[in-house]
Amino acid sequence: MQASHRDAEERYTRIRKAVLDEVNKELFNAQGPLQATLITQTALVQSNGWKNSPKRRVDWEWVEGYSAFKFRYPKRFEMALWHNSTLVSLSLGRPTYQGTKLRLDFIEGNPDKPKDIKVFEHTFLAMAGYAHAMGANELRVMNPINSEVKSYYESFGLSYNAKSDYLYVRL
Amino acid sequence: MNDNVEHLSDQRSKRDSESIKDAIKRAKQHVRNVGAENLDEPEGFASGDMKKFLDDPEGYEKDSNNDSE
Repeated sequence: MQASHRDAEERYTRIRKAVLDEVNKELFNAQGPLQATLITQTALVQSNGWKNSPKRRVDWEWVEGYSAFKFRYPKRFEMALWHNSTLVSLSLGRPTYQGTKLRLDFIEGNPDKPKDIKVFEHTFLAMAGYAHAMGANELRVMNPINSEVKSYYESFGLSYNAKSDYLYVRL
Repeated sequence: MNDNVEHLSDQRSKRDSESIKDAIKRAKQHVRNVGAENLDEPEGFASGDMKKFLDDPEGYEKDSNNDSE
């Protein structure tokens, strides 16, 4: 890794941590055992267990996906969400080329998480915090996997761009 | 140097975390305003196209840059 890449990685990791610290204050007030962290090796190992779930709708390899995304995008947004010691979601995104929007490229909830644990709302809050820190004024959620998921995002006030298959909301 | 003195970098760090906190609170209020709290999340909840990204990261980035602004 080049020094400039390493410096960027360290600088943006500090921002990512600052955002997750603030999200955790919200979670502590509202949800108790939920906690947000960076995506760790422990999180990636747990995500491998999702492969066995019949409720899973995607067949992603988070270990490979995270590694490739991390390498390319030091400014990325990332979050692992935990319920006690169980991983309940992983999410990855990045600012757009000019930095005015923050994309959520990939998010997946633990397919076997209890129904009362919601993951998108907390991801949305973390994205809003990170977007603010990066100077972005719009959030985008890329490629909803089906119409039910698309409608769910629309319930959060996001609008659908059919041409490019994403939902967005101005901040 | 007096340890009780707040350094400029400390002040900036505090200001940054305050503004992140405010952005999160605004987003929380937005979720409340649109009535999205406590909605049932779809089973197998996910978004994205990780396969496309892994198959061709350059192409994925190029496509996303074309519609990014």
